[in-house]
Amino acid sequence: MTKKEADICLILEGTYPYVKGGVSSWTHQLIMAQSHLKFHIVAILPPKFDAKIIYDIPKNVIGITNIWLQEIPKNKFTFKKLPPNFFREIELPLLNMQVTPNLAQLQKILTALNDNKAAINEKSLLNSEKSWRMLLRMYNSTVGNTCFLDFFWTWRALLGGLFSVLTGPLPKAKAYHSLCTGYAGLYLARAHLEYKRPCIVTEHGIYTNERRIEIAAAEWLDSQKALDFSVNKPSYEITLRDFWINTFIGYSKMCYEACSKIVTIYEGNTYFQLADGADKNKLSVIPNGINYEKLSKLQMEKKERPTIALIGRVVPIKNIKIFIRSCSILKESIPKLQAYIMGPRREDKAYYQECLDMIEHHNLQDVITFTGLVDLSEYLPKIDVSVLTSISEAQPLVILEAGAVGIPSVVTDVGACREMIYGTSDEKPNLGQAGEVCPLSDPQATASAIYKLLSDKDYYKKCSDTIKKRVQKYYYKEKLDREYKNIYAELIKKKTIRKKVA
Amino acid sequence: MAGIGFILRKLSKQDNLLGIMRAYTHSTMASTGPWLFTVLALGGMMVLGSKYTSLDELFNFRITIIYNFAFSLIFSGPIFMIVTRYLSDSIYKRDVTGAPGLLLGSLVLLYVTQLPIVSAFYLLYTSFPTIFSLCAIANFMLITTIWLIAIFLSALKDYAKVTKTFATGLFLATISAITLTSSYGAIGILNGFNIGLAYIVASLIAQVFVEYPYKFHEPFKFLSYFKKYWEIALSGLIYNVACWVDKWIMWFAPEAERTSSNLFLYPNYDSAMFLAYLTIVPSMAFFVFSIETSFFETYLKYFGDVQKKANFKKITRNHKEIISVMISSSRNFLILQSSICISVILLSPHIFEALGINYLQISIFRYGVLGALFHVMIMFLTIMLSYFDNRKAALKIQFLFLITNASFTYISMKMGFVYYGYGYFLACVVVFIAAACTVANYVNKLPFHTFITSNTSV
Repeated sequence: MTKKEADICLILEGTYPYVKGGVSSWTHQLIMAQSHLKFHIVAILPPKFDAKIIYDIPKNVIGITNIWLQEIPKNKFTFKKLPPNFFREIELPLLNMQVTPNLAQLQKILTALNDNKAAINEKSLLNSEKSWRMLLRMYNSTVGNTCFLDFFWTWRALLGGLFSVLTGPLPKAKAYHSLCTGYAGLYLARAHLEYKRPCIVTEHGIYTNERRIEIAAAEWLDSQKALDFSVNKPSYEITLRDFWINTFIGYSKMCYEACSKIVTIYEGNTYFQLADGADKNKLSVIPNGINYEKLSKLQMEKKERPTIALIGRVVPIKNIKIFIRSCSILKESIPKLQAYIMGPRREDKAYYQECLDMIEHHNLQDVITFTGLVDLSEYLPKIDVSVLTSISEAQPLVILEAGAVGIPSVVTDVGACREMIYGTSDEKPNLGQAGEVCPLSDPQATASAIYKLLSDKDYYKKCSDTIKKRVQKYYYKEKLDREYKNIYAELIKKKTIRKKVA
Repeated sequence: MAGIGFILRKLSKQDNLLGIMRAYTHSTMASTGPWLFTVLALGGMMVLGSKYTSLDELFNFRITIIYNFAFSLIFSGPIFMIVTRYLSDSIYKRDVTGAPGLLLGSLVLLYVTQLPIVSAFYLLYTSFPTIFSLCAIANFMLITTIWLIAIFLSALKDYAKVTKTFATGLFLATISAITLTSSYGAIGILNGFNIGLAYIVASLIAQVFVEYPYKFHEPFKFLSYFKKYWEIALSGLIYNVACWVDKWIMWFAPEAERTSSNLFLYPNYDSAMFLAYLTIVPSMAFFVFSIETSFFETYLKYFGDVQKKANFKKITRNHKEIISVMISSSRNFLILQSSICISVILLSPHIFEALGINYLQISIFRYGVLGALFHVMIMFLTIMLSYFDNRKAALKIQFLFLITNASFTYISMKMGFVYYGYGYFLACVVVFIAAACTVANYVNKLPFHTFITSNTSV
């Protein structure tokens, strides 16, 4: 790896190039598509994560920097001490980041840390008596009545994370691009403050929402105020859960403030971004695209039986069981129905077994077939309608892949599904409806929607044409590559911003 | 997306704080027990023996016993401490099925390491008759075995039973020693004493097996603790050396004797010191009682509440309670021990006359009594530190005791007879001040230490 300055520094959290998944493969393709640019990857990782690269790193990646959360540079043999007022200086900005997070607060903390680089290690920042006293002050001024042990761990986890991100190595680049907010967003804000280079963020899912679900499910935060019967308990009293969530909202806000462009993959996300304090003028939607050229050339096969398919992994989040129940209902009106479930079956073996039991129970052995992971260009021509019963999705590409062949979809109302079926608000002129959107966990509605498509030839033809047209116009991969190419070019061109952040 | 969810999950496992409590919940008896036994056995022997000083046989017996007590404590110290810790951890984990195996393994280790040294010493170095040497070796092994078994018994907390066993054993020892002397001389006394000790060993082992009715398995699993808790092993050695170093140095005083059997001894100094140690027996009992009741209660409440999701106000309240219990116990202890100390010093001529002890020892005895007052407080303070699992500080204090006791005693020896005993007294005062400051400083910042410095998951 050379020491040359990269064009784009990509900041990822717990994904590429170590973990497989949607964001990882998206990133991999982005780097390959922008082969004219040099990339540096910064991977923010869980504590003690074993970093094994599982992707073929493209040649235009000139460096990978790992930052493990909670790990603060060692600096073992230092004799330098933090100045006596160090913790007093960062205490107020740290508290303010909970309430009114902005880059000016972050700048104060960064300055304090950077001015004392030689004296920084885990002991001085987290394990010293002075930091202990700051912890007590922060506890007393915020959640002073809740369980101290929980606050202690919360404080350590949050500050440990903050310090590791703010003190870790920061490679130079012409522009910084983060793939989510959270710690990656915080790192992006730091890069922006330190090198004054332009930044953008692309959010696939909404980070703060994901954290919210996790924090709500964290049982150890429960019963923290055992039996507090006091009458005059102030209603504005904040809890440790708020402490966690506010921290992540704060990181998102600062990330949004640092960015000159805030991108997401579908319109629905922009409302959450606005709610988390994103500037409306910075927002834009760049949907994911597919290889339209290749898929649109596939010829539909002549079918003996009406055929539907659910393309996805056999896991609870895809709600395969609702699909099975819909098939059971459909079989009443379409006895010759054929249904495929296409996707890996090994991820959740217990769930797969439950699905098999259910099929047997409903006597659907002749109708439903599990194909495993298959080559879509071989299987897409075999089906009439693609079905998605998921309880959560971002922007499922399978709707587009089926659409490119001319297969309409029946989907649940999650993620970007609705806007792919009905078109986004800036689709002008609106191309029309390209399938059906159903409520979650409603097998009757799903079955009726599928029946409508399979029984009404004209309606089917209309939907088929619409989805094909929509994919061709808005959701092809070259469009995505071109848009990022333009954004990057514009960012790299920008002059370094010299003016101080107010 | 694989985010940072794992951080949240990791935090739900917070039971590491509780680990502190497992530290030394039965350290009191483990640390005070052997010392108490030594003091009682040797001090009692000085009192009883002083009536028979004319007997040459008694002299050889006395010197053997003193050497055996001193060196068995020192050699077994590290093993003793490690086994104590290992057993405490097992009790904390509520799995004591390994106890019989541990007893077997540690006994084997003890014998394998000590038998060669002791045999070489008695058979090759001293000029005792072979028969007497063999009895002396047996005596050493019995004493060292008692130290080890005592760990398992103190864990049972049935002090009454243990005390009864020791009392019966020592009574048996006295009777058989007196009976056997007339026909067998020195060998008779030593074997009489051995009979008493053998009774104690047999009876204690029986009690251990009754309490831990499990099979022997993995007898050497505890060896890994030597690496993990080397500070404890080292402090076991240093503490015992520090307690004896002033006697060793005084064995080389101009007035000391080199016996015909090639051993060094300074009976006037040794007797005076062991008599002085007898004065701390009442306060030791008092200390064991108060730590088991009022202190342990507040200690458990403090750590229990931290674990039970208390807010910091409550933690502070419990913290203050610990401090106040410690202050009031020390005050009570100080009043008790100082009054004993002063009375004994004032009454010492009468005591010496009544017991028929050599008047040469009286100034050494007075320094010894004063020193013992501070010595016993040092012991209590280090026990406090081990309760809070502050191993490094305990080790430092014991090391300081070793250095000061050795150097001050050496200087006082050089300064002449008038100053004999002064070195030990001064060392105890200095180390007491250091230990008191360390403990006060530590306990004052107890919450900080609980959450940061002693927290193994930080």
